[in-house]
Amino acid sequence: MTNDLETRLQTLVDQSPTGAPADLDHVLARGRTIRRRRHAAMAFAGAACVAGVATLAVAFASPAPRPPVVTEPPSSSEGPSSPPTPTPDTITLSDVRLPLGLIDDQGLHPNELADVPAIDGPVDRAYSDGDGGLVYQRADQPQRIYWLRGGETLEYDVWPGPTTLLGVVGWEGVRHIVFGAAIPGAEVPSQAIQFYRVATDNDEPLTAGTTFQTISTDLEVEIADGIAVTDDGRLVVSSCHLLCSTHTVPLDHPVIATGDVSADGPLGDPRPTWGLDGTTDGRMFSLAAVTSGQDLEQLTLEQVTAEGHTLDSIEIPMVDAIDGAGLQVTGDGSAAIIELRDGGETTRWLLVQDLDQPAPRIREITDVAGLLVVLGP
Amino acid sequence: MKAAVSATQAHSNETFARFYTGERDQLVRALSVMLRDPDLAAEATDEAMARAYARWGTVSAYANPAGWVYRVAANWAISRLRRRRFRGTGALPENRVTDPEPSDGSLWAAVAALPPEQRAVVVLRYGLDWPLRWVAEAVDAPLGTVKSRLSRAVANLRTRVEVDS
Repeated sequence: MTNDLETRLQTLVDQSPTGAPADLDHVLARGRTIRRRRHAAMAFAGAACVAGVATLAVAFASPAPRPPVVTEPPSSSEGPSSPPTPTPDTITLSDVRLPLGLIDDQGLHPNELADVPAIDGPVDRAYSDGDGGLVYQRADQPQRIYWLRGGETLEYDVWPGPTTLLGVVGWEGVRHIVFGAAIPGAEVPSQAIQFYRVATDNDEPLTAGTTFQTISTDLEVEIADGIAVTDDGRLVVSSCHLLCSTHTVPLDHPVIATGDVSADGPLGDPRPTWGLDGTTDGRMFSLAAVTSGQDLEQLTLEQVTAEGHTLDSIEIPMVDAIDGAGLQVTGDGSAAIIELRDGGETTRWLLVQDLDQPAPRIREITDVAGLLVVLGP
Repeated sequence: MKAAVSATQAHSNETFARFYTGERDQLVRALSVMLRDPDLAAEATDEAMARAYARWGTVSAYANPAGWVYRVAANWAISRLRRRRFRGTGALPENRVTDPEPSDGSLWAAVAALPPEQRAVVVLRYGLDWPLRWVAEAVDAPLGTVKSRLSRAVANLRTRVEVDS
């Protein structure tokens, strides 16, 4: 870049208008309100656990989201104009009868139902390999993917640079480890989603020679927050930076382009969509949001098609503001774990059980603060 | 004990006030170029600043707290824009225009024509003079991705504006 262009850019920003004038007192007051609301929500969650607030019941039979039923409104510091906020019932980690991995600064700690050993060290991302093993990435080794199976850990440098493990997907009876990576030196498209084919009997090593497919894309796939494969062999990628979108493309298609964006339904409309996960039989789930003036107003867990149509929908109870969410669904589609985020930090973990039944049950897992929860197979 | 808490709170308020005074306007300007809506930029920045204040103990420890505020503000503003579009009363950043028109109209138009992710990195890197590492943290993308976006953004700008050598 020439110095002149750089100077002009600096000047452009320096001379841009600042809109409304600074108002520190207003910001401080608003900040105190946010803080009080968060504390009140946490206090209510604790009280609800002790008092045994009635179980919320939601229906999963209709495309229109049904609000969760609560018998007692939460406390609120927002004043009389604030609507009652539905609050989930609570559950402790020991009562979650699902195979889970818990990641903290020290490593990964599986619960008693997860058939994988603990992992020491800064684990960044981890996914079940669908066969009792674990595929994971360490925060201090961004170019390396680890595969823990049968008591041994295999290590693979799958790309000549940092990669992001995106998940493990399966179709036609074969599992594939998927990661996204920037293509060094490339212009457009400059990103790739790589599939590494892993046979069900694990007889194919995870090496560069076993690349199943490279899909070039102009998406910023390294921030993809969910992938799924349909039962008819189409890849669905949810990615979000500044604008969220979900792209669907045949697996043998070389490029994901703008024209592949689903045209209608929650995956194609302007609502933010966070997370995308699929079941082993090809069902897909995503989170869709509607925002109000200042905060997210409604979050729904939706069963969707690759074309973006909603098949079923349930409303997720919201207690406090969030600006992001993550979704993991069990392979059989009976349960899901939802991560709520705000300001880049995890604020709550929700457990959805009986997802495949008419009345799914949503509860907050109360004792996993500061942990990353990974759902097992 | 109570006095110690009050002193800590006073210190926290003081450091936040310094941060707000020092960073707010420049963040608003950067978001104005990013969003092409100065009022929305100011509102988003103040909302993000309020959230930063609510958790100032954590945010103040970051290497670049302004990067955290930028990211929260950008996400908040874009959610707001989505809702406008959802209701048919507004548009996403690609289509917004500002009033008044800045003096460097050709560069303004060229920056405005960039995809949002390229616009963000060029504004933060050259408009705010942030190091690439801060830019990467602010847009929540790997350093290599930021470099790639910046390279493409500059190439796009070069094709759109007349630059004196």
